[in-house]
Amino acid sequence: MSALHLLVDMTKCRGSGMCALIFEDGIELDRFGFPIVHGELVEGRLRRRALRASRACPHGALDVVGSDGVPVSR
Amino acid sequence: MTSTALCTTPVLAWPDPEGAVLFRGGSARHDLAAHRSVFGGDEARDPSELAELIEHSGLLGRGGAGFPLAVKLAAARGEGVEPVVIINASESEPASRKDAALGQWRPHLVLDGAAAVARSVGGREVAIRLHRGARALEGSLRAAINERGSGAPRFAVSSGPRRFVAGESSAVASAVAGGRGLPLHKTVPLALKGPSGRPTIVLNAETAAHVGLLCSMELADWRASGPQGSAGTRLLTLAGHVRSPGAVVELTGPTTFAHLLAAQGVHATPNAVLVGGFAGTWFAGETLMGLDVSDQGLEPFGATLGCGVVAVIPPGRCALAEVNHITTYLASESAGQCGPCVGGLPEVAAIIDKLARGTARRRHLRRFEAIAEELRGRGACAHPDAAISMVRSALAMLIDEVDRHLGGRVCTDLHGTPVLSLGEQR
Repeated sequence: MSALHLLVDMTKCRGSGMCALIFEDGIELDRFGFPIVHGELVEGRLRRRALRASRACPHGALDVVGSDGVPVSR
Repeated sequence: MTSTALCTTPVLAWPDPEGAVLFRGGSARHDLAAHRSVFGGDEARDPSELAELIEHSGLLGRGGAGFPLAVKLAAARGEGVEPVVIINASESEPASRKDAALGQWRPHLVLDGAAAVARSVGGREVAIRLHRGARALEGSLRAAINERGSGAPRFAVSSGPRRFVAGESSAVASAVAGGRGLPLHKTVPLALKGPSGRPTIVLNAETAAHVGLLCSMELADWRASGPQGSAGTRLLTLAGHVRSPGAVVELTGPTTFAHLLAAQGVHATPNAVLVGGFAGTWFAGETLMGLDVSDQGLEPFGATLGCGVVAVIPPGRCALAEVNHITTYLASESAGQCGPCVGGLPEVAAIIDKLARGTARRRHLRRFEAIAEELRGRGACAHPDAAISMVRSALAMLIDEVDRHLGGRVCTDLHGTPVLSLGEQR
């Protein structure tokens, strides 16, 4: 499978922090409560977590995207 | 106020006063007849010929980022959809006057270039975006468009609020597409897909004017016309403590900052100089004076000429007071969209304010570095990165002054009028 990663739309993100609660291995919050995402999502469990975090965002600000920047289905 | 200030803006060429290319024929406005007599440039070329010409020229964007124009155009052409072509003449950079000077004195050169770019990618319309209130500029462009009649492409001028981030390319693209005119979250480059869904080319006015020149002169002459390592001449705006703040200089060849500034009445080595605008790089005067005025000359310091603003802080004036003034301004000019920028820049500004007042300690600078690391690359646009890079350059390059302030020296300058004026004075 192609490399996936998380992409935050900072213009939509309001810092609810839901993503970091759900996916603590891959997302940390900065001092202002906004997410910092790490690395590629290679392995199945991480990928499922990332998709859950994406679905949980109340502002639709978090996408799992392929290397072409296009979101995979949530 | 705006228009009178602009009308008196001198335009000069340096180091060869007779070597101006964009401003060939002096700083009077060229109407269409004057333009054609000086530049010609009215023969029709086919799109592939234009694309080839732009590619061979090696022209880099003049809005500050220096991206190769040909790469942008090739991306847009590859999509098989008619691209949106936008000339960005909004010139958000508070000290910059070069795009206004071009639009005002050489409107047809900008329009020729815009038309050539549009033709090369199959665009039938060109949108020109300005900041509201730039009456002389808008008047000149509208008059020039009227003079050209109804030929292709169709030009449409619009304007929006004068704010720093409104001139960012995706903000400009957003405004032209009927959006809010704020920077966009981009997953693919605008040249592939802009906010309208079509490939979108946003061109700085100076970039467009250079395409106009390319259509009117021999490529070899055009190439030979600028500073070291540059393709084409380069426009600078001088600011701060110079003979004529706001003067626009067309760089015609190699020169040092010492020579350039001496020609502007700056004989004492400045305390500090900000190169490349508010998102640029600070230099101690003695470091900068011997350097070549070109991207190549600045490269060892990780700097570029950027948007071309060269702002001079004279001896005896506190450079950190100026850094403070600009940082506070940049923090207040956040679009307010992205949390890291909204949260981070005021904290950075507060640290720099402490530093300028002589009340900061090393730990405050460590805190600045921690915030800077956290913010890196996380805004939808480059605004927070640019502000931080400007502050970082001040901390690294003005080291003596930083040390004095950390030692608690109180700066009397804080209560005076800053040397560098901000946007509201335009």
